[in-house]
Amino acid sequence: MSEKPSQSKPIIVRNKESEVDIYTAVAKYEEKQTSNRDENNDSAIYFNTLHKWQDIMKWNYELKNKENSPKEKLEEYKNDVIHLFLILKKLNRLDKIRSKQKKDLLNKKKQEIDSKHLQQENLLNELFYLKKEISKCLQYKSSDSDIDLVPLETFCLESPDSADYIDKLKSGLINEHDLHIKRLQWEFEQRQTQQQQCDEVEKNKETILSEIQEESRILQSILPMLKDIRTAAQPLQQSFGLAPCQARSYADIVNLLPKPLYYLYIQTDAYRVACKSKFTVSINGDEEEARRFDSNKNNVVDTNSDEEVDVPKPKKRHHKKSRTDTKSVQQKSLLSKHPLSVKLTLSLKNNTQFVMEFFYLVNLNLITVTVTSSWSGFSSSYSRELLSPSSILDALFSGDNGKESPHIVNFHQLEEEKTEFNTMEVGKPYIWAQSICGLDFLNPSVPDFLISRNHIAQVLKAINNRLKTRLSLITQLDCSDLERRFSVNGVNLTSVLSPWNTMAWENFIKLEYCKPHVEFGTVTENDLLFKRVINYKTATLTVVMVIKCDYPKSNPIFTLQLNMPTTNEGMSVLNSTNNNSVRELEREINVFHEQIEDEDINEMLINIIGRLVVCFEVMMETWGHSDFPKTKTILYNIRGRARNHPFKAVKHHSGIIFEHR
Amino acid sequence: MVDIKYYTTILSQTFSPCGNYLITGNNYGILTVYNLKNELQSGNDFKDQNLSVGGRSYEFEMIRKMQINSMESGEKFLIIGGVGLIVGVDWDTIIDNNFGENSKVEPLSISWSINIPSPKDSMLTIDVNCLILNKEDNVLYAGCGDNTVYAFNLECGDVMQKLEGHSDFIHSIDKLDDTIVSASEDGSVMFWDVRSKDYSSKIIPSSNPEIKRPNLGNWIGSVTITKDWMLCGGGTKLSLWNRSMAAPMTVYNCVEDSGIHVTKLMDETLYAGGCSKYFYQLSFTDEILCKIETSPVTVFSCVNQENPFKVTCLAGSSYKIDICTNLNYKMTTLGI
Repeated sequence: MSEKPSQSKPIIVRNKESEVDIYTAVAKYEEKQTSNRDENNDSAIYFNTLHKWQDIMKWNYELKNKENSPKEKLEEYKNDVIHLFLILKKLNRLDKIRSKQKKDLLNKKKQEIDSKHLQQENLLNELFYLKKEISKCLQYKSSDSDIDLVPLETFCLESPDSADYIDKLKSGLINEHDLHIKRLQWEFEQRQTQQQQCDEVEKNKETILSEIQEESRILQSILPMLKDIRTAAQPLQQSFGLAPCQARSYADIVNLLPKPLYYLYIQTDAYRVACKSKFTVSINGDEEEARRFDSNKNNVVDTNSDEEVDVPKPKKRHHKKSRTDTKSVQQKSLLSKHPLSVKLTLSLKNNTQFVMEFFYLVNLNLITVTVTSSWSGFSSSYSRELLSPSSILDALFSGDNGKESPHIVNFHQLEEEKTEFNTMEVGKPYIWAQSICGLDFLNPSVPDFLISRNHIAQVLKAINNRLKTRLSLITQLDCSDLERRFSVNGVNLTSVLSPWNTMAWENFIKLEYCKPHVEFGTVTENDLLFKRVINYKTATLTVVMVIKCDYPKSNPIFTLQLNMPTTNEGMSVLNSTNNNSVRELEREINVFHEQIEDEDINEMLINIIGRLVVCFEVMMETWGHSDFPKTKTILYNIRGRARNHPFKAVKHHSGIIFEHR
Repeated sequence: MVDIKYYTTILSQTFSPCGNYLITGNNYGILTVYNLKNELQSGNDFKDQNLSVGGRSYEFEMIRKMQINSMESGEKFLIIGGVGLIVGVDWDTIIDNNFGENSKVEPLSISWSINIPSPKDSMLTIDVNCLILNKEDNVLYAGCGDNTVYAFNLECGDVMQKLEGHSDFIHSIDKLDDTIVSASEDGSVMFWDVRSKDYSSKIIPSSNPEIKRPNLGNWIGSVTITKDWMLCGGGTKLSLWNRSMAAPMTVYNCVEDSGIHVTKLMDETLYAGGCSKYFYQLSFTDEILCKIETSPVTVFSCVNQENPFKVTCLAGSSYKIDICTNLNYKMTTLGI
């Protein structure tokens, strides 16, 4: 049916495209028609057609009711109706398209409206939010006005820049508000620092609290133990007729020590614990006396000014009577010791104890040391000299002989009172002793804890080392088997050595051949002097050995004298002041030290003396005297204008050869 | 510790060509230069204590710190005899007033050197014990530790002559015209003619029992000759010999010594020193004209000059040097 009208319309088929596209082409064409044609016209056509349809139907009906109706007329009507029906159909199609188009349009418009609506909603929301914000901002009020600020006057006084601000304010560069800000900043800084301080203080408080707790815990734990001890000791004390013991604490006596000794005690004790050294520290002296002394001292300080005024009067009264008495009293008072002293006990081998006692001379502000020791098993005179309590710690550090006070003030104090500093009575004021007690003689008024701490280890080590070297020196001086030692080295020694003896300074300076060394300043009164005799056949060599206090840092010094028979059975006495050979032998021993790598300190002196004996024998053998035939390998007897002897021992594959230097 | 300075031994001294400086060499190989002018002026003012206060003397160090055995002063060079080595040092590198300001010991800058090789298969080191320079033909005579007197041509450094004959080291040599005289440890004094290889005559003073001193040995420490005389001494006594007769004329018993190391013969006066407390001035007969107490234990060196000022310097086994402007007394001491 649908194809029929299209076929009936030749316009539609005008463009002869492919059969498939006809439908779409028609659809397109009809869409075009809908837009081009007027709807109202079409509706008029529709109603006309309907009217015509009605008329034809009526006519047809009338015709059919008539008998024998003409057939031609019926056919005519039929054609007309079909024609009308086609028109209706066409109109209907157009109408359909149109309605669809309208609907589409409607939908589109509807969507547009929806989006607009949404947008409007959003904007409304935003507006509301902004309004709220604005109101919030409007409602905002800073709390700075609540802060209790420093008054402007104090701010002006305290803040470094305040004056500047005030000026600016006056000149109008900044307003009140800016000033307010500055004040607030100032306040903030102040509060921050205060907060910090507060924190620190609180931290300190906590640590102190914990310390206190710890201490009290320890103390509490001690208490029952002390009670136990006390009850346990009671019967014993009763049986001995002693009063039950008073509670006393160890700490008390330590606290009674004068500051320097207190430092010494604390430091040495700490060092002992830290290094597990074999020494003990103790406090010596009467506690009661110390208490009395302490209280006296306080009184003296109070009444000092009064006393000065009073002094002349009694002096006048007792002028003749007790001049010497007052003097000696004054001396004593100048050199008076604090009743307490610190005792340092070093335990050595063979149950030997080496005790150093440190005293504090109150008026001189000086520390002195006395030494007592219980050496046993040393019988020789030189060992007594070497271990002599009065000198063993001399020159522990160079120049520190403890002869006079290192405090400059003391010299004048002593001079004023015409007092002699007797080291025998009060001990020796070594500089190191002041150091370990925290006294610095450049600034003697205040003992310094740090000085004490920095010196203690060094000093104790030096003392230990001193004792060690002294003992090793004694064993080396004791050594009597030099011959055996040197025959090992391929040199035969036939000399006979006497044991060492000590020598007095008075004797030393009398000797012709020792004097030059004293004049030259290499030997001083502080040095230890020893003497021994070496006999080689008919020649006798007297050896005076000078050992410096700081041995083995500085080598011993030898001075020699040779007694030699002359051909006419006399004796010639030769030494460095009248004979070149002896002078050279001295030079050889004193100047040319053979540096043996990692030489044992305990062998050093033995080696030197061994060398001396060897050189002595070489000298005698090269002298050209018939009493001394050669026993050693010597290449040339005497060389050079100075007629030198071959003292230099050189190791050769066939043994030791002696050469000239 | 002993200061090594205490054991210094000065074996030789010499004057600079200008005569203003005294140069000494010691056993540690240190060359010391003293400005005599300054020293003597301060001596005239009797300010002995202020001597050698900084800047007056300065020091150089010999190569290998070699002992300085002998020195001779040449026109251009200072000639130093060491051990197995003779070196020449330009005077300009030593003499300068500005050196005194520097207290550091500078090394010597050596211009030339002559090696004296050790004999084969020997460990001997050859000390150059005595040096004499003949300025006319530039020949250097050296009495050495290998018992030989060498003559070196300083133009080329060659050995011109070796005078061999002694059986021990040479202590001292002296020269007069063509004659060389040498004193040796072996106890003999030999006379040589420069032109021949062998010695012309030999004297052994110790063969004379009057001169011999058994305790001190036979060695001859020093010898001096003049036309007619020869003065020698050492382990033996100091003795004056008549050259033509080869016989001792005077044996000096008045000299107290244990070994003579220095002899001099000038202007009819004899000078002698050595291991003794004194330095002697003697007449031709056994007579002491004058004696000066000396600082060194043994005097090893005595030098004297007339110009630009008259001075005699005595040095030996001590760090001190005695200075006399008049040989009758000691004027000052250097080196303290």
